[in-house]
Amino acid sequence: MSDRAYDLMRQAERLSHGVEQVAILEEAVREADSAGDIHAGYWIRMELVDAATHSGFQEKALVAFSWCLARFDDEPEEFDEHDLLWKYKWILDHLPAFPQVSREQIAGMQDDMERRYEERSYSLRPVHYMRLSNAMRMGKFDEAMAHREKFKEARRDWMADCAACERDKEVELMARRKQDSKSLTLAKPILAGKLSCLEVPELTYGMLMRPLLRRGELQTAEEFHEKSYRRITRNRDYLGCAAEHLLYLVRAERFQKAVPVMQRHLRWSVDTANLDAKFCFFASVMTLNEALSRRKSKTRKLKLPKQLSCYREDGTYVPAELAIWFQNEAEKLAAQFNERNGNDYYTRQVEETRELAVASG
Amino acid sequence: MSSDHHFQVDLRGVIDLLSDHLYSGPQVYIRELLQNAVDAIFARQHSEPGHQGGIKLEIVRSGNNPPTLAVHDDGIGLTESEVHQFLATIGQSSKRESLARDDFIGQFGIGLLSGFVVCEEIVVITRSIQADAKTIEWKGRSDGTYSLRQLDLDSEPGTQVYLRAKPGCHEFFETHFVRDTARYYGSHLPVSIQVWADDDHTLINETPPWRYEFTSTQIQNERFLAYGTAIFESDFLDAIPLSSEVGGVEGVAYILPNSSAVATKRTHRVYLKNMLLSESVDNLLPDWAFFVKCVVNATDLRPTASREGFYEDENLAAARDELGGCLRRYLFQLAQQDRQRLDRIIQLHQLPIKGLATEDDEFYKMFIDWLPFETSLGEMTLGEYRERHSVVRYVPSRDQFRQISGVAAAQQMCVINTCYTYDTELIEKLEHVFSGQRVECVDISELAQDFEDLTLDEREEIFELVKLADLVLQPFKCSADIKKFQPDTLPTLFTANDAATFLRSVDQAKEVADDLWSGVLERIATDPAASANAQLCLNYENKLVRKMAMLADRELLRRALEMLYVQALLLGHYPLKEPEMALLNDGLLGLIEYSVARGDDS
Repeated sequence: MSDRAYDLMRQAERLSHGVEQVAILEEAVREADSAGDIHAGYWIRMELVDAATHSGFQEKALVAFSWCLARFDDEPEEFDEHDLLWKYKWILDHLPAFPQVSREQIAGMQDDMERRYEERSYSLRPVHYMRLSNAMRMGKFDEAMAHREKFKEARRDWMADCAACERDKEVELMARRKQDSKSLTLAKPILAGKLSCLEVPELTYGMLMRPLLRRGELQTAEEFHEKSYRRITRNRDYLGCAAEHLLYLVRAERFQKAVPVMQRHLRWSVDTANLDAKFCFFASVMTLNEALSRRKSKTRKLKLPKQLSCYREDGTYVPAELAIWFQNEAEKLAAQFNERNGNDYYTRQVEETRELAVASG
Repeated sequence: MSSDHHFQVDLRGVIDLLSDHLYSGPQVYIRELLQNAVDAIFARQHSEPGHQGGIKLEIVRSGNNPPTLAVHDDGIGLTESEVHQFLATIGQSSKRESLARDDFIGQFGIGLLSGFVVCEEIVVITRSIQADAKTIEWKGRSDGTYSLRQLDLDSEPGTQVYLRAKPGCHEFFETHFVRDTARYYGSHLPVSIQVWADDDHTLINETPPWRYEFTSTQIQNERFLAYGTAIFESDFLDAIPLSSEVGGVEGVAYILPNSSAVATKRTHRVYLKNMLLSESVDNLLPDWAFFVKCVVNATDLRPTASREGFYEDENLAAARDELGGCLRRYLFQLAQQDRQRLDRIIQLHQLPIKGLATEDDEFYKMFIDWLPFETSLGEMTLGEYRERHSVVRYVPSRDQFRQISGVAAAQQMCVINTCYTYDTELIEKLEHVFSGQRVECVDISELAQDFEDLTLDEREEIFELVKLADLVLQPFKCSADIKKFQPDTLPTLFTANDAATFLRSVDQAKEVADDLWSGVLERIATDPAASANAQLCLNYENKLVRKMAMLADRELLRRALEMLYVQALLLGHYPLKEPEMALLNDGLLGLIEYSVARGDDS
């Protein structure tokens, strides 16, 4: 490996996940490629897959991963297969967040992963787990539950996700199915700190906001928000999670805090390729502006990113107008997802978000 | 017929479990014994205000017998029924039901059991302070049995615990081990603790510096620094007193002498009610405060079972804010009294200070102009930048900054690279904190627009060349433009925005991927394709470019332009895609052929 690529790798190693780390690894990849060093290119890309996945650049992870997979298929004895098949899960897990990717392509990738796991005699547990995850995020809950059966029956081996991540996935499934008490019960070992991982419990706390709001347990939601929000403000990978916190703040009518939270994370939403996270955040922003428009003042000073077409130079906004703008954007995204998924799951989510933002009765 | 049965719990197994999971090592048996003794003395002080109390750890060695450790305290003592209740029931602590009396350290009722990690039998002789209490002897064995008897002995109230080393554990009874361990955990306890061994005794107590009143802040600072050097074996830049009413926190924060370039979790040494809790507590301070290492005592925060941190609750959040406030106040004070030292601290610790500035507007206002940023004209503080430029221009992308910074510097253009943690946030905050300050996020292709334009005549002269360049580069999703810029030795500047660079990586992957993955990559590329922008900007100041404009041979011109494009890519460290590689090969061969042909002609 060239000195320059090596130095960049070292530099990236010392950073926590985020924009800077991803940028440095991309530069290192270009260095290795320019030098025609395929092994370095492979090794650095695998690091990039890690950094990009956990910094909210899932599209970059996918591109780097696909290159590695192709190189591996070309010369399987040359590269580390275990690492590759481990990270396959991350790529597949995020695939439904790109509505441009078709159902057939998602199924194709599931089959591809299954074939590779089978060939190496790994347990298919992670494959069922990914099918569960994909189906649930596309709003296909019967399918997801069927995959859950198989996933739970399959033997754990070293390719299985850790207990914390697996549990978090089940919490998510129950939360999305509105099996709220099941969801909360399943989350107990995570909440008690007995199970944790890189992004668990942070993701779990966010995921439990809707069950808590549905049950009217605002105090617990408050507690979860206070415990975990500060841990998700630095990494744009948590955009979807931030959407749940924002929704809670709207419901609790904590507008003083909700406005800065909206402003902080809108910057991430501008150029994220994770359109699911963007959708979720826009829907929460819509509810915030709807709530603001119901209050006295007609206009409000806000700091919104220039890249949004609703941006105004003077920083003065009418919440009622913003609410409509974000609703339209969220609905556009929802339409894209609905078409791909072949159902109306995303439209229903817009409605549901709106209902949860307002105290019932 | 059914009947209820009790679980049979194997004490041996429980102890193994405890020593494997709950206790970090055999040395904790000393901590647990100290804890019980101190709590017993506190309990007695409640009913007998003024009672001083003291603890004696005595190591007894006789002949070939295994060494024994005896711990004496003149605390509250236990009555016979209390002994049954507390010493023999796991998980039952005399302290639990009276949690309101919160000067107790222990709370789990398993402390004494830790003794079984180093011995087979624990003997406790105790006498309660209650009137007419008898002296009781309790013998507990690691197989889970115990015996109890009254001693016909008129002893003073208090408790003695005797542990005799089991085989393989003698090292944990060595004088220096007991003394060092007792000092490690208990030196800050407000009860006198003596270690007796071999006719010699040592008082291990040492009052931590934050418990003293100092006559001047200078003396305080010196004492704090000396203490920090002693416990952390490091010379710190400065010491900052810490205190928080919430959680009852007192202590010192030390500014690390080495650069904190990376946001790493710092671990701190924390005492809980003056007993050492852990050296690796990591959630006591705000996230941005990673430029200090602390030693503190807390009286009212709840530790997690692992002792590695405190339980995240409202109390901790409030205490964290107060402690962050201490650090913040210190920095404000330095700003007024000792700029030199502040600049040195900023030099080493700009990252955490920037982190604080993102969160705190008042701090931001005061500090932002002193903070350093990377610009195309080298590192400078934002204050220096703002003195020279009315508009603050920044590039939030590392790659884009890399592409443009050299050329921008040659035009004396100054842009800030804000790809680093916090920097974009800080720069964008400018216009909101200082009204009237203009801030511009620069896209790479726009920046080239600011290079000097050509005159109309010059445009006419070069028009055909630029048009041809545009055509030649079209298949490579790249457009052409012409400007005047420095250095004039540079014929072209290639710029690509983030979307265009991303698309290059997609194309590269598609070259090797199978049908399934190519299809997915194709879809992933649809959105960025709309905003991608790559441009080859020709330099009118460059002699070669001007000569090319004179050239009539279009075929040769095409080759030359293609080669300029490839050269620009290579200069920019872009790996070549297959068609570009083909350009390079064909172009080289073509140029050789051309030269050879000209050689033939002459």
